Amino acid sequence: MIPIVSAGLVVFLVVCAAAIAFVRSAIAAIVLFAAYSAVMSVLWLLLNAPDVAMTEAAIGVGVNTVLFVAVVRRVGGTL
Amino acid sequence: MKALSWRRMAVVAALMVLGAVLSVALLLMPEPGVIDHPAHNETARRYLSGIPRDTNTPNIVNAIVTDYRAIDTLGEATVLFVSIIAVGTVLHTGRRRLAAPQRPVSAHADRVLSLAARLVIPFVIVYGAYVTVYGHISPGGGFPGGALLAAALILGTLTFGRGGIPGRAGEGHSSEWFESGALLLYLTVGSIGVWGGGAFLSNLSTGVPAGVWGTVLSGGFIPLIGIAIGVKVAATMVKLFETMDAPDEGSTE
Repeated sequence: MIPIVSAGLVVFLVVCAAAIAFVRSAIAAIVLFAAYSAVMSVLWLLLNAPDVAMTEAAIGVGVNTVLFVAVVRRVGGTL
Repeated sequence: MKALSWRRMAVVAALMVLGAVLSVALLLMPEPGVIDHPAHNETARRYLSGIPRDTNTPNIVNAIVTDYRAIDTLGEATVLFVSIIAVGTVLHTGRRRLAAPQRPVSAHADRVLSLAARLVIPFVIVYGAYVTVYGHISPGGGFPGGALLAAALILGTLTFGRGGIPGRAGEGHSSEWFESGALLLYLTVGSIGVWGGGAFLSNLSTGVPAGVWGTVLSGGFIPLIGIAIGVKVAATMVKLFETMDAPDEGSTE
């Protein structure tokens, strides 16, 4: 069961990474990046790295998203 | 146009070569998880067997970050410090600009958002403090704990506007004080080792009390280092957000 879940999550990661490169809207890319980080943190947990999983969830999903949104607002990009 | 297409073809060729090299390198990597993997060397064995004796803490990752490699972590804290200086220099939000009438990002905080934030923020703060303080005996540590604290504070700023949280004035400099204070705490804790006759940031070997295994007060100065990192990370994130989010003079928002 766990290998299937992991494989599904890895496929999601690859699709997500490609989508980040191709979407036009900044906010869509930021949300996709947050989704990438969230899935990555689940994968870290499945790899028995709870420390890294927590850091990925807190910094990758939370703080990175906020900072990216703040930067896009700051430079006057369209969200 | 001709030159451009040549350049584009060169880029494509270079990327293909790079991709080929990386694919070959990936295939040559040792299979993960095998018993004779090169990562299973004497370094890993040394850490696994030595950390309970050297640091008196069960969390090996945290022990490496805050004890064996504490000077590297100090470097990371300095990187955070420098990033704040760089962002502040580029954006130059001095007192004068912050004093300008500002429309907070969040003036339109609606009922649902503000209720949810009121409900969530206290728990996030408590959990962030827990993750920071218990970092050496359970998964966690200063970096995720500090990020959680910062997330709670930024959520508060986003929802209630700057100065909307009691005790946080509109253009306060508290994050700067916490930022510098955490770095100073780190350096002070590190110099305990020097006073004890050892090297900078040396822990139990210079006679710092080891404490009781598995409790908060264990591992010598590791909890203090964890708190310093947590406060530092939280202050850096909050300061970065506030610097980015501060309205500048020509803003028409």
